[in-house]
Amino acid sequence: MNLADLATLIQAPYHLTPGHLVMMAVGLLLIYLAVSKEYEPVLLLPIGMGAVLANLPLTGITDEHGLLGMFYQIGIETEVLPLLIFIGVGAMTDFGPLLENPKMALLGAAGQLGIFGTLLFALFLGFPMNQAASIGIIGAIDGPTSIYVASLLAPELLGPIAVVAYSYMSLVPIIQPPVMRLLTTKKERQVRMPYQAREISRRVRVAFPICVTVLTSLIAPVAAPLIGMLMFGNVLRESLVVPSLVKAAQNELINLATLFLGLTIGSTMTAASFLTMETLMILGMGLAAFVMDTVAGLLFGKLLYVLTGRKFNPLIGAAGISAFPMSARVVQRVGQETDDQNFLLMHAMGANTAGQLGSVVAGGVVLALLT
Amino acid sequence: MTTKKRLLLTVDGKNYDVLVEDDGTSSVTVVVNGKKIAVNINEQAATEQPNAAPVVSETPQLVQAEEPQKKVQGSGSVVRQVYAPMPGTISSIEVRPNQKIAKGDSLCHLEAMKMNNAIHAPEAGIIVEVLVVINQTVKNGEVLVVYESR
Repeated sequence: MNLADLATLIQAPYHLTPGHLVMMAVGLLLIYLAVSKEYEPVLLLPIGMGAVLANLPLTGITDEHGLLGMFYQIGIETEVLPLLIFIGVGAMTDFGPLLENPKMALLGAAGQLGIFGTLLFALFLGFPMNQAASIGIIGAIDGPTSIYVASLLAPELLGPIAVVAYSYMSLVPIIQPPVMRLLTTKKERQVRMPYQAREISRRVRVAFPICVTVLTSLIAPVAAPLIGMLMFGNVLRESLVVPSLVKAAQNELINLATLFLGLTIGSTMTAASFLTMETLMILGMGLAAFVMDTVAGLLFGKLLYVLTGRKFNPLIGAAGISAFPMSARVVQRVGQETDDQNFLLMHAMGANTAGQLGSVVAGGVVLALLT
Repeated sequence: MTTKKRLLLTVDGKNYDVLVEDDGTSSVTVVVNGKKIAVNINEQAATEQPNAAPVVSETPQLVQAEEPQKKVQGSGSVVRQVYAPMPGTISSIEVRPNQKIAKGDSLCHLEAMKMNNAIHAPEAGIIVEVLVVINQTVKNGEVLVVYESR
């Protein structure tokens, strides 16, 4: 054995750059937030670990034939991983609250207006169209859709977009309430809305995802994989005949896909791609998009308040985003702090479910317009 | 011999279709809005206070309470009910019968859509009866707590 061989053992530290160190620190920060603060640990923990791994010099782990490099080509370049997640999301989504109250679909649509507002704003700031659209999608607070759209339109921004989308997802209870209090009057927040449970037949429950798939795919064919997988998961769920498949989709499938997706997205976070002005701008615009979505939903809620003769509580409009069920819970909480006899939860769940669907459709529309 | 009596009652703005089946024993079968409930009769109350029937049929457990008549007759106080505002599961109960409550006090918690919601007292009063137990699944509009308002 040659003594010089020993030198190879201590080669790596010489290749550590400040960029590596900062990015590993970012990775550690994400791990810290996930472990200590439980901020979306399911995604942020794998992303953090991926970032640490990717920024160790000389490992080759993110190279074409490196482990994470292969995960990237197989799972993200092909869009497979985010789509597998949608099967799981579909299997977990109960469209019941929306079907009970179909007019909530309007709120799910209004909640997506911030996406397009942010898109215009990002264009104004000089982002090219594909990147601007990917940034706008963050506003719906829909992690999987943000990742899917970004992986197709702007893979170079995947890391920051995923981190920003999931970070804001855990900040829903902090960001939304002040906006809601600011934009509604006490009188509006006090509007009580009695809840009438309605039985939705199994036939409707099964037909709904199929109809949505066919209709949206005819309008925006490129959205078919996205909506198709979401609704496939939902058909499994509502059919009631394949409980084992539903369980697999809700647990094993979505968990494994999330695990690999997080790790792989983390591995794209290199100093060159992450430590840029753009990341900071995405952070800022993601927040703007989120606030604008909330504002759009609330304003639409206020319109319904007027149109229904003050029978509609405008707070429910804020639940027209994808963060489920956090946003509906926030509506319930803000409603109750004004009137402890007011229960808006079930209505807000309807709007929130519509928001989940709305953000996926909005993602599909953006893709249809840009690809 | 079994006698049947059907009553259409409106209590606190809510409609009840009550069918009382009396077979002459100390218990009767009461069907409230299609839901069958076995009820023991407090003989004294049944004979002296025939007008107490609405209370009997609506909140069966109330009959077993010591002096149901007093609560109805008490000056200025009204027996009221707290309903489940949405379907869910009772996750905790904070009050007991005869407990004084203030407006806004938490009576129980109802877990719905994985969110734990406090059910607050709409006004001050005294708890008459708690009709649910922990982990019980309740339907929208089901009576949770009966209280006597002050």
